Amino acid sequence: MTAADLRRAAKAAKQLFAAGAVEDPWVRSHARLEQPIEVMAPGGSRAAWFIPVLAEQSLVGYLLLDPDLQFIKWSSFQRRPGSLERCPKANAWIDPERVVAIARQAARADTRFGTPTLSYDGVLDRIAWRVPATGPDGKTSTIFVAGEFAYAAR
Amino acid sequence: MDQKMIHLQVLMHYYMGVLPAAFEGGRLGKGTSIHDVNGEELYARFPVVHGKESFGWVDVASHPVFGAPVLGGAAGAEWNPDALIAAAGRAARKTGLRKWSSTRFVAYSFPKLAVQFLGAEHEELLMLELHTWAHVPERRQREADEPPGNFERWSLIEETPPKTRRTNERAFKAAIERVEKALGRLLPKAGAIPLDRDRIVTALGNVFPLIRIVSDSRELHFSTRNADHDPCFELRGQETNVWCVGASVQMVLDFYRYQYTQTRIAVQLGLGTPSNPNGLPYTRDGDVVTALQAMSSNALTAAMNTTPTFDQYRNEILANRPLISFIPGHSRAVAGYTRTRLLVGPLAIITYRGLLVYDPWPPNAGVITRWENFDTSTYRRTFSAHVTTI
Repeated sequence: MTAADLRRAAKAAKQLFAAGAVEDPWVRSHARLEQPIEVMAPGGSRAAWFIPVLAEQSLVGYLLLDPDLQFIKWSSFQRRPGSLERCPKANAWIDPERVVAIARQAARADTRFGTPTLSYDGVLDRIAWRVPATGPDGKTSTIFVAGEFAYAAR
Repeated sequence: MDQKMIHLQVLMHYYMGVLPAAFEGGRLGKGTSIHDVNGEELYARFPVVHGKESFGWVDVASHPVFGAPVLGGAAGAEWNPDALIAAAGRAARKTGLRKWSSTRFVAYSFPKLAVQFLGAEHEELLMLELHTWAHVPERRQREADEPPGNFERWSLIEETPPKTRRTNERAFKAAIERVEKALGRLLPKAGAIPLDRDRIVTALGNVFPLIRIVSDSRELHFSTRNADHDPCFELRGQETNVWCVGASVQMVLDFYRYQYTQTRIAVQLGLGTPSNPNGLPYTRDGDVVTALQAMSSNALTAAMNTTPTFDQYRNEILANRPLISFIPGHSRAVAGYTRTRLLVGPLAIITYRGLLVYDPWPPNAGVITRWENFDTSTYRRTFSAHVTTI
């Protein structure tokens, strides 16, 4: 991923946001777009762009664009328009250090973790961070982290 | 579709607001054919340009399997097929391929793209996924009804169920005929009109007063009465990484006031326990019908549809009934729809269709997607249920 790729994704997301891809007027006036995050397919290719939309410290939802920057969807964590109730804390989705901390919940003690990549489990609709893990016995595995939920890949 | 019709379709989709507003002032460049795995032309990708500046691109169907002529547009991106073919060529040489007769773009797993290298007899020599240049594996023999895997080639044309294909083919033909009938006189000059709302209005001339954009949406209410509160539906996150079906069933049962835990629903569906969960195998899709009926003591009559149509979603929502929607590898609930139509007089010439999706992923949270573009998504199954009345 180059800086130019990132800029293009951010620009496309900004245009979509301004053009009304997110219908809720409260989100459009109170929320902000964060830096796009590349969603990687298990094979290493770019599967999508994930653009977090934040209000205060909460993740209101996210825009998903395909690798060609075509709009896939706007998905919201809001239960009610104008409310942040039950919206997750943003750092569980955008901060790799927090992602690793959550991954620890699903791993044995003394497990070492590699760099997480935003990916998905099986299909793109099941978006999650993929965290490489190495156990104390040297065995490698993958931990998926989706928000505050972590589990070992089968 | 000929070039003039393509231009006219894109102009009217832009006017309607279905294509990105960032295309304002742009014009269509030369299209690139994208083929299906079976070799047929599937759609064409047209760059949207303004002088030397690239605004993005728009995809226009060549094959009636899509059911709609314009598939969508991307803003802020650049489509440079020559550069992509050159990069693919460099990647191919690294694999040891030295000679080929031609190349073409292939939607190996729609909408994912690849570059296919062909020999003199038009035989495939190599297929590399766009951008990653990973070797796309050969076609695999799959079980009946088994959905394709994540990195696997499959033919959109061949795998669209015959009934859906026939419906889409009719819709595609009708969509072109309607535009031709209502706006045919614009066809000769369509190529000269830029994506500029004022210029489009001017070109429409005396047809313009006949044009209306009409939206028709509904979300689940408390009942079929429009004055009742809405949305009357609640999102439930799946409680394990593989209980999307359990959570979808829970959302529908909750709507009818049958309150079960996901753990209990998992027992009914054979999905294991929270500490040792499993998903529902595709061979047991029909178990959802049995579960909905059994868990409502047969007060609900459930049904599975293997060829979901937009009208089915719409009719169920209008009757104030949620649906469970299976897509390849995942399950969600649907609680609303939207349909926006561009009318010329009484004739709807362009239609945008979307679904309000209550998605149980991520676990313990879930998200609401408003709207999922019906015409660019793949739907495997729907499950509906209605209350058995006397």
